[in-house]
Parts: sequence; C-alpha cells; structure tokens
Amino acid sequence: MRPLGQAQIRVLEAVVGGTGYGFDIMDTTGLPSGSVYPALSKLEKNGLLRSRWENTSLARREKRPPRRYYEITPSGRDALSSALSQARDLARSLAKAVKEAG
Amino acid sequence: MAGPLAQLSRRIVALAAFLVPAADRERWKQEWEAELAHRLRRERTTLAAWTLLRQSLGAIPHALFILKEEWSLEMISQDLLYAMRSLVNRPLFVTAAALTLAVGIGANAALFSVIDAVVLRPLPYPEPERLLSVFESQEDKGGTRDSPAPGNVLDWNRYSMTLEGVAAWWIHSTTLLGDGFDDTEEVPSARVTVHFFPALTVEPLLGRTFTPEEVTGQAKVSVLTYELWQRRFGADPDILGKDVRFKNASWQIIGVMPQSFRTPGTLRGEVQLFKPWDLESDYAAKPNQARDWRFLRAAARIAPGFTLAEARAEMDTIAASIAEDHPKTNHGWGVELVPLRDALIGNAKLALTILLGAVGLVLLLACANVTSLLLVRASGRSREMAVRTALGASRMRLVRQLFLESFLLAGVGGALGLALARIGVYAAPRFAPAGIPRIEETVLDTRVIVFAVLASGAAGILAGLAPAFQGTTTKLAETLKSAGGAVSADRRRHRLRALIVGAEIAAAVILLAGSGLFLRSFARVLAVDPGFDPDNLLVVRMRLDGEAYGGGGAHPYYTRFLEEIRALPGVVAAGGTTGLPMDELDTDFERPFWRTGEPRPEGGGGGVQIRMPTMGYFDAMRIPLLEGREVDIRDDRSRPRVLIVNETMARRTWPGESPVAKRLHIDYQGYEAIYNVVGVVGDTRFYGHKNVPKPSVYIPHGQNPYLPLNIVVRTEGDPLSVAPLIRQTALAVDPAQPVHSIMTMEQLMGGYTGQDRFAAFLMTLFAGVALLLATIGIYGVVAYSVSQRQRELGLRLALGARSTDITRLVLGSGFRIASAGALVGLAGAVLASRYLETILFGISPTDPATLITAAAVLMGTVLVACYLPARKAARLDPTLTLRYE
Repeated sequence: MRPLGQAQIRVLEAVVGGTGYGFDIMDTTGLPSGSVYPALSKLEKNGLLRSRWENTSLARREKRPPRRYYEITPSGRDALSSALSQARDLARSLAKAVKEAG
Repeated sequence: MAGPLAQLSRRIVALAAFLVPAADRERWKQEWEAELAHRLRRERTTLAAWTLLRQSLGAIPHALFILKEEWSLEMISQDLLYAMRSLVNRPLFVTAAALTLAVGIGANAALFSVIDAVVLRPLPYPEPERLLSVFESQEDKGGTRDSPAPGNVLDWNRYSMTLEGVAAWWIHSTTLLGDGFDDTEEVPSARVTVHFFPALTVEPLLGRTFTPEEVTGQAKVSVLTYELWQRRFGADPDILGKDVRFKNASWQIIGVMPQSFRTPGTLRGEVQLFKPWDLESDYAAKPNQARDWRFLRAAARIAPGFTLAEARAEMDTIAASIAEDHPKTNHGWGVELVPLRDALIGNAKLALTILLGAVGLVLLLACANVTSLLLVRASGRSREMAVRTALGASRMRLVRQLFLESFLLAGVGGALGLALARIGVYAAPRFAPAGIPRIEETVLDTRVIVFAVLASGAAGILAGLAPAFQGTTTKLAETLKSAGGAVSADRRRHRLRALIVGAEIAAAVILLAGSGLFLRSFARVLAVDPGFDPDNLLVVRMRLDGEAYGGGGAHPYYTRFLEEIRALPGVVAAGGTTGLPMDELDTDFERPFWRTGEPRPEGGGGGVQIRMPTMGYFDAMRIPLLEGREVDIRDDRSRPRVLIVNETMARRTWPGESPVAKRLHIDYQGYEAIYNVVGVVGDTRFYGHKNVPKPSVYIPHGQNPYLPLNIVVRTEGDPLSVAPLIRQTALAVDPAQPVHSIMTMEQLMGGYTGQDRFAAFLMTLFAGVALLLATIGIYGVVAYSVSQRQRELGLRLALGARSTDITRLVLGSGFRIASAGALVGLAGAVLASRYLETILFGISPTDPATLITAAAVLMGTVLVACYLPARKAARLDPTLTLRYE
C-alpha cells in the first residue's frame, strides 16, 4: 500500500477525534470537499475506515436520508500512528539538519 | 437567495451522480444528499448557502475519483484475470474463435506486408516525391508511354529550368572476363548519363560515382552494385582502383553502391554494373538516329521551387519547339512526366488494393463468426450476468468484462495470425509472379506488427460489440425467474445472429463472384493461342561482342552455332530471332512503311514491327507458313532484300490479295529500303497474351545480322536437360562468347500470365475461406435454433407433422437467411464491379453466368450445411423432447 497522503492523515485524525460525518470532517480539517471525499473513499476501500448509515429515526425526524458515518478500524489506527511517528522522525531529523547547518 | 442556491447545490450533486458507476450510485447520492439536507436544516443564511454551494462542487471530483477507481489498473487486471479464467474453462470455444480470427488477421497482415513493400514504403531515394519518370508519348496514339530518344533528352537538359537534369540510362549486358572459362559471365549493366547518380542522390557505399569529366571523356571507370561486389569480388574492401576486365579493356572500379540502391524500375540484380555514357558525343555524328531511336529510360528530379504542374507545362513547350525544329522525327510527340512511384507501381497498386478489399472482407467474416459464437455463449451466460448484476456489478463492468474476453480472443488470434503472416511473407516473393516491383523487399517488420495489432484490436471491438451490449441487457428478474434463461433476450440474440450470418453470406457471395471472375479471366488468358507451340522449347539468349562480330560477322557465327545445336542429341529443331514472342527485348522496334506507289507517311514511330529471324526459326517455333517461303540459308547481304510478313500485316496492307511478290518500302532514319515479300506466316502474340497481334515483318538475319539473338531450341524431352550441352557448345564455338541466359519458353511466358495467376489464386483462396466461414456461420445459427426449438418441433411431430415437413421447415429457415444474403451480395458484386474492369481480360465484371454460379455455389453449400441440423430435427423423438420440461 502506498504511504498515506497528507489529506488522508488529516481525515484519519479527524475521524479518530470523533468527527464521523463528511461535511463535519471538512470543518474540522479545513480541507475542501474535493479533497475530503476522495480521501474518505480511498481510506474505506483500503480498510482503514469503515462506514455505516446513521440511525434512521433522527433522519426521519429531519425529513432527510440517513447520513453516512465513518469510523476508524484497527488497521486504520496502526496506519495513522505509524504515519505520525514517521512524520515526527522526519521533523526531528530536519530540525537536526537545520541546527547543524545553522 | 438561500433557497435557489440550495437548489443549485442539489442539482450539482444529482448531475455528478451520473458519473458514478450505477452499482454505487444510490449509496453515493444518498450520502451527499443527506449531508446537504443536514446542513440546510441548521444554517439558513445566504452566506451558509454559498459555502454549501462551494462544498457541493466537491461532489464532482469525488464522483470522478470513484469512476477512476473503477478503471484502475487493479480493477482491470482483476477483470482480465476473470476473463482469462472464463476463457480457459472453454478450450474448444477459444480454439475455434482464435483460429477463425487468426486466419483473418494472418491473411490481412501478410497481404499488408506485401502492399507495404510494394506500394506504401517510400522509394529508396532521398525526397522520392520529387523524382519523375520521363517518357515520350504520341498524342494521336492515345498517349501511350514510349522511351525517350537521346537527342531529345539532350535538348531537354539544354532548355529545362524546372528539372534538375534528366538522367538517361540503357540496360544491356556486359561480358566480364575472368581467369578461366568458368568465371567469364554476362552481367546485366547500365550505361548511365552524367545526371544519373545526381538525380537519384544516393551516396556510394565505397568510393565515388562518375565525375562530369569522366562521363564526357567516356573514361574507362565503373561503379559496382552491392550484389556484384559481394558475389564476384567477395566483398573485397580494397576493391577501389582495381580493374574489372571486359572484352577489350580493363575498367577501373571507382565505387560500390549500397545494398538498398536500385536502378529505377528494376529488381535486385537486374542491373549490376554502371558505366559512364556521354550521349552528346555518341550521337553527334548520328543526328537522325539521335531523335528517332526511342530506347532510353529516363528520370529527373524537379528543381527546388517548382511544382510538377510547372514542370509539365514547361516540358510541353519544349517538346513543341523540338517538334517544330525536327518535324520528321518529332511531329506529334510530347513529353510525359509521371511521378516515379506511380510509374513503377501503376498496375500492381490496383490489383493489390482489390485484394486488400477482399482480404478485409475475410477478416469481417471471421469477426462475424466469432461474434456469433460469443452470442451463443451469451445465451448460456445470461444467468451468470444476472447474478453478477444482483451482487452489485455495474453494467459498465460487465460490458468491460465481455470486451476483455473478445480482446483476449483477438489477441490470441492476432498472435497466431502473425505466425501465419510470417509464412505468407516468406511465401509471397517466392510464389508471386515476376514483374511486381519491390516485392522481394516484403518483410514482417514493425509496421506489419503494428498493423496486425490494430487489426486485432478492431477485430476485438467488432466481434465483442454485439455480445457485450446484448449480453448485459438481460432483465434481471426475468432471467433469474425463468428456468431456461431469458426467452426474449435469446430471441433477440437469435435475430441478431441471423442478421450477421446474412451479412456474412453477402460478403461470401461478393468474394466468390470476384474469384470466379478472376479465374475465368485467367482461363481466357491461357486460352489465347500465342501463335506458336510453347511446349518443349528452350530459349537461349546470346549477345555477340561488336568488336569481334560487328560488320556482318554475327551471321556466320550464328549459322555455325545453330548447326552445332541441331546436331546435339535430343534437339528437334533450332533457330533464332531478335524479338521473341512473349519477351521484351530492346532490339524490338517499329518503322514507318508504305507500298510501292504510295507516299511516305508523315511523323516518326509507329508502323510495322521488324524482327530478324534465322533460317529454321519458324520451323522451331511451329509458326505456320501460310504462303510463299521461309527464311533461306542463301538470304544474305549479297542478294536482293526480301522479307516475310505476318497474317495481320498481309490482311491490312494487301486486303484481298496475296502479298507474295509485292514490294514494300521501309524507312530507316533518312534512307529507305525496298523489299520483296516472299512469304506469309501466322500471327504470334508479342508482349503477353493480352496484346493483339500487330503488323510485323521478318527480315532474314543474314541480310541484317544483329549481334544479340534469341535462339529457340525445340527438344524431344525436358528442354532444360539440353541446357548444359548448349552452354558447352557455345564455349566450343568461341570461348569468349558465353551464353547470356537459358530458360524454357514456359518460364518466359509465365512472366506474363503470372500476375493473373497470382490474383486468381489469392482471390480463390480468400473466397474459399469466406465460403467456409459463412457455412460455419449459418450452420451454427440453424443448429442452435434447432436446439432451442426442440420442444416446438417435438410438439409438431407429436401432432402429426411428418419428418420431411420438419426437414423442410429447418432448411427453409436457413434458406431464407441465405437467399436474402445472396441477393445483397449479388448487388454488392455488381456495385464493386467497376473496380475490376481494367484488371479482367476477356470477361465483363458483371458477367451474369459467373455471378449466378457464385450465388449457386454458395446456396448449395449452405443447404448442405443446413441439412445436418435439419436431419437431426426430423429425427427428434417427440416423447423424449416433451418429457424434459
């Protein structure tokens, strides 16, 4: 599997943080819809996320279809933590490089 | 404001939904609509509505993303794997379909490679489109192309601005001397003018070509072709500066041309040596001959900045002014400029295009058969498709799946086809007739492979089109419910197959009609009486050296040589002549003539064909003597001039009376000779079977002893068995005069009938394949329909139908398809006929007997093919068929 992209990492973080609906994820991450949704689809296809439909009673009350709710899977958690630790490693070595250079 | 904006957002999502594959579409749409509705319920400000609109635009990239996923390499390779598995499970089906396509693709690729070599590939000269062939033509004779005369070529070069220099050359034969007898050989060579190499602009492989000084000085230098350098000089890298020994001198070798170089209009090996030639000094002393001897080959390059039209206009003016200055030789003569490529491939192009059309039809037939097979498979798979749809496969995906299968089939077919084409490419130059230019260059190269890949792709699409869309339109519920598959979809498929088979039959009729026409045309060619007996006849070409045998020495030489040949065992008769029937030789010419008391005709050229036979020639050829006498041993220069006329000449010049003892005047460049006619012989055909005999006269060789002679030897058995004896005899008479070449008359004539034979053979091959494919096609349709109608037919039998009724019923269904197809095919054949007009000989392209025979052959074959399933239907056991349900 290819390493997670920036958008995917941020979407995963949002979902871990408890934001499960597509438009709410846009708000949390600040990413545009054109980035969030493909990321969601790809993460779900790769098994890092799973989705289910929202409870119908609330939807019926609001006279709209049920929303799609995304949750992280165990492999999603693994992928996220390794992506984050990689990012930290990178940041550390960058800082070191900057310090040595400067 | 918020309301319309919200509306717009919903529209965007609804539109984007169409991009999403059908299987995912509902869920996808619901997700977006739910989010939009959720937001709208909470925030109703205009600002929020704008934000929402912007966010809803993200639905488009999202939909595209999902669409792309469907077409990802991963998904496609998954489908490919599935397609492969589903094909591997049916080896018989795959074999049948792939072999069918292989025949179609292979035949197309092989023929394409021939066409590529002959027609498409550029000529092997830089900027070949600027190269022209230059001819002279006589307007009042229908503008037939004639060879230019030296004096005219010199004038063109003097006056033309639009041509860079008209190159002229003359192909003849040179005797190369070796150390012993064995390596003395006759080599076809060309004397070339100063413009020859510059016009063709091909750099030599080694050394250089002739300088202008070498040409004007007629220096003893020569340029070799690659073949001669390889063969005779063992590819000696230090060849430059060495000598090549001709009859009377040593000539220095100054260059070797590359392997790809060809003298225009010749095949590999037809010219092997070049010598410089200065027309100017050669013809300065012969002003009359200079313009009257039209025998050169010429080519020129259009000068930069000019067009072909400008060159033609200028040459017309130049030709007109030459004609004004020299009316006796040039009155009525013009210049004809033809792009070199057109001049070289003129005839072959049309024939090859027709054959390509025919072979294209064969490929269509192959595709149609595979389509038909796939449709039958689709009937069996409608439940599979329905189940896959129910499990969420989109239609697009199923269509793709089915196309992948047909592409795979086409791929396997294409690979097998290329193997077949490889055989064809090997065979083509070996079995093709002489005279198709450049055919020896036929190779299976990248271009042919690209062609085969494209043809396979097209075949994959064509064969898969109907099954892919037909196979996936099944009504889900209907299919899953019905026990025996969807009835209505099956019926639709059956109709489609009937239509396809009808089209196949139409195509097969067109091809059968074409092959019938080609065969009959070829038979007409063979049936032409050449005017002599070509069996057991050997042709021996000789060309005596002018230094040794000029001034009349040729006659005693040939008289002695012929006597020695006649004494050989197995030889029945022998004689010689300059121009031989069915042969093209540069010693053939025509002169103006008139009867005593008539005025001399105006203008040069035209007239009567003149040939110089020796004693015994007519006898050896078995050309009948109709009146008077043959050539006699005493007819030499010391006796009054005599000649023998052919039948056509006798009939045209002395209608209703005997020409014997009449007098005939013939004009030779300014002086006239008067002859006594002493005999009349039968007509013979010159330059191939298709040309009607022309007025000809025969002047005894003893009175006009030409150096080159074609000797004909009639033998008891196989003519070639005498050939070695004749070669020995020639060397015994004069060791420095080897035989130029020996072949049988049959081989010589084969050169003329070859193209007709080749076209007829290929056409018949294609028609045979087409007939086979169409027959398989209709058999498949009828057999399948019988298997589907078992219950109905069983019911009929149970209700009292006789088995002959059932047979008739089934035969009738096949017959209806076939007759409709045959009618369409006949109409197509008539429409296509105009392209055949110029190729056929002695038969109309709409010859009713041929067309009807073609249709009848097809209908007969079809009925036989339908009889098998019909018989099976008639033998059905009604109790058995009705019990199963």
